[in-house]
Amino acid sequence: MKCCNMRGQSNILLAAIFVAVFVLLLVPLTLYIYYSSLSTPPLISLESRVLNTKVTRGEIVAVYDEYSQTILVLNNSGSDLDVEDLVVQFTCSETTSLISLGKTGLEKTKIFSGSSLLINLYQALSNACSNPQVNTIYIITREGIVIAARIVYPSELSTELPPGSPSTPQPITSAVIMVPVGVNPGDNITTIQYLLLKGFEIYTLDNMYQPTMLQPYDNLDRGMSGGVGGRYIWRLDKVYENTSIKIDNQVVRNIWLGYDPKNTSNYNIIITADKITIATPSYSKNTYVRVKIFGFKPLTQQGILALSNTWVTRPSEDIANYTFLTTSSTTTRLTLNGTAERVEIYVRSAGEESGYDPYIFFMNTNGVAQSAGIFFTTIDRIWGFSDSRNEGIDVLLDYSRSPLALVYSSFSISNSEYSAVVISVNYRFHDNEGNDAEGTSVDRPIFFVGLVDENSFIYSYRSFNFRELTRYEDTYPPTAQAQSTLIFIPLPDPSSGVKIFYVFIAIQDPYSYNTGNYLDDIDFTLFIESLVIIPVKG
Amino acid sequence: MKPKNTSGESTLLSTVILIGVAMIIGIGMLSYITAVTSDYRAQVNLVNTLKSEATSIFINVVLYDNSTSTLWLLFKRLDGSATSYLVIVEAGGYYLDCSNILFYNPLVDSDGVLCNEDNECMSAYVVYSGSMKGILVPYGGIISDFESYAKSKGIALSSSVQVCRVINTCLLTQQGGLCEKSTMVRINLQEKTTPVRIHVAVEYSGRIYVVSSYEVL
Repeated sequence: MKCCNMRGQSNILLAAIFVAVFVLLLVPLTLYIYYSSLSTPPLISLESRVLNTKVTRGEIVAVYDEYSQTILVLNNSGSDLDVEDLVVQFTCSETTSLISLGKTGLEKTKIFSGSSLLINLYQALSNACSNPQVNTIYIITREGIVIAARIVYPSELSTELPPGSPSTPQPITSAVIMVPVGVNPGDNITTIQYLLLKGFEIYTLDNMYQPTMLQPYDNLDRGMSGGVGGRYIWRLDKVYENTSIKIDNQVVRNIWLGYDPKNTSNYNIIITADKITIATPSYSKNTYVRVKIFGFKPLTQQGILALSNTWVTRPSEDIANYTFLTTSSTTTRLTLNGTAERVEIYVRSAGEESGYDPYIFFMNTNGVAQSAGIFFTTIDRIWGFSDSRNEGIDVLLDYSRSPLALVYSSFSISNSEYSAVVISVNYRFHDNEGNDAEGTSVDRPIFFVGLVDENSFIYSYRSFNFRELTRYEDTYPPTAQAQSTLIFIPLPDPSSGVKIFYVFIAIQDPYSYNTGNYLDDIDFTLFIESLVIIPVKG
Repeated sequence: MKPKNTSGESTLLSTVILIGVAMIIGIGMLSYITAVTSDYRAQVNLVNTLKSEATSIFINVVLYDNSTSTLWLLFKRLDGSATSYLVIVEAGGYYLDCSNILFYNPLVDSDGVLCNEDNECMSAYVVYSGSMKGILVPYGGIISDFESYAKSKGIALSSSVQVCRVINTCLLTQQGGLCEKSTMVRINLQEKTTPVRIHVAVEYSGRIYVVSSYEVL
């Protein structure tokens, strides 16, 4: 019995220990878990945020010029600005709308800190109506920041004389820059059609010597020709894109070197030669060639390119500096090595007409980013005299059959608003006629600058003739001095009728060979550095 | 022998009872903890979702055009996902119908001018239309309903509000990948009125939660 009672008591003891352990450990543990965390799960609380309707950043400034319909964005924020979209609020016949430029290649544009970007709104706004009034411009960054641009009106730019001045001259309003032409990083500047996106329209003249009106340019693949007797043109033979380019010790006749306006650490180059072998990409031609290189980035530390072992380290502002490199007494060999965005090789071929693309080039010589001058050259080989062939050979003479007239249609000048227009032109000229004026039988215009009305009639112009231009250049040693002209054109009184005018520039090579002698066989280079319109209030 | 037998049986019985009781308590305890933790997990998931949505949606004002009573907004997701946006818009004490909230589709736009072509700007889709009590708001540490929240914040009350789905531009224009584009949204206001409040909502387990509010003054 004693043993069995003892066993019963030990069972009770065991049960008591079991319950005690259970109660003392598990229950507090459960309660601890419950009260410590489960009962109070973390909850967020809704917060209100206030947005201002004007979200600006002072260090990023955008200025809109209503005349040229361009917006200049200056990024002085210290960090690069990724543009996602540009939204413009404008009014067309009392209806307010918004336009987005995100789809026009602006998306993913980067404005580096310290630099600026010029955006032309003309094309986008022309979709809306003929005369939109821009109210506000917003730049939207990739981070979602909205920057309001400041719009500058002509009255803000005009200077007011202090009160009490004896007379108050009419203020000159803002200057509208037609050339240099604005360049965006995404622009294709390899063809003259680029100008169509920059507020220009392309026309031709009704008469090469005494123009009276502009006519439509029907076919951009026509307008230039060459040769004596049979016709010869520059035919595009090969295009390489995003390529390495390596030229080793090739004899060249001429080089024109400028900065690439899309990225001024790169260069745009034209090379002419009697024949050429390019190492990379592999190309060889045993006839006259013109090589246009866009966006050239040299890999060589010594400089951009070498001319018979002398390195060229920067473009010269004298555009004729590297012409006539190989003469009867000197041979110049070109070496360059780098990469290029695009290489176009033109070969001299029998053919009726080509467009202006082989002759026109967009570049600048001062290294200012995103601005392109208009360069035109018909020189291919060498100079001559009044008793010799200028290019040295018949087939290389080039001439215009239809002048290239560029109308800056994004800036209209009404005689109800202005009394006169001042046009300023800065240019350089260089020709291959050793006897200058004496090498011609007749004086012909090389380019015109003037005003055309809305019905394409030329109101007034100034022509720049060969015999005038050739006075300020030296054929050899080649020198193209900087020349400048101010053209003042008063507008007709509005009482005779309100008219709208546009500024135009027309370029041509008017000299085709005069058979029977060696006169009028002129080829030349013309570089329009700037063309600025200054409307005068009346 | 008999007493010995009785004592052995009772020992066995008490052991069985003890084990039984222990098992019942154990199972009960286990199922209770499981229920509590799964409930806890559900709440944590909800809170995480609301938190991440609240921080990854960003709204900015492009312009408030008084003359046409139009508000242009920029919707952006910072997490790079292409999920669409849910919004409730209140202007001048009234809640707007989804037909007044339009989103821009760049694919349809041929001329760059916003909302001048058919289907270029489409109305947001209605995902909820009904009482404010049917919309939940995490506020003050608890999940409250939108009506109570509106009362406490002095926001307008209405018998019926619409929650509108604004389609993310990335779904229209982009195939896969991280979404970087902002969505342009046009809100047609009935009249010149401020403030305009845009309440950003999230759908979770069939319920709608407001996670952030923007106010255009």
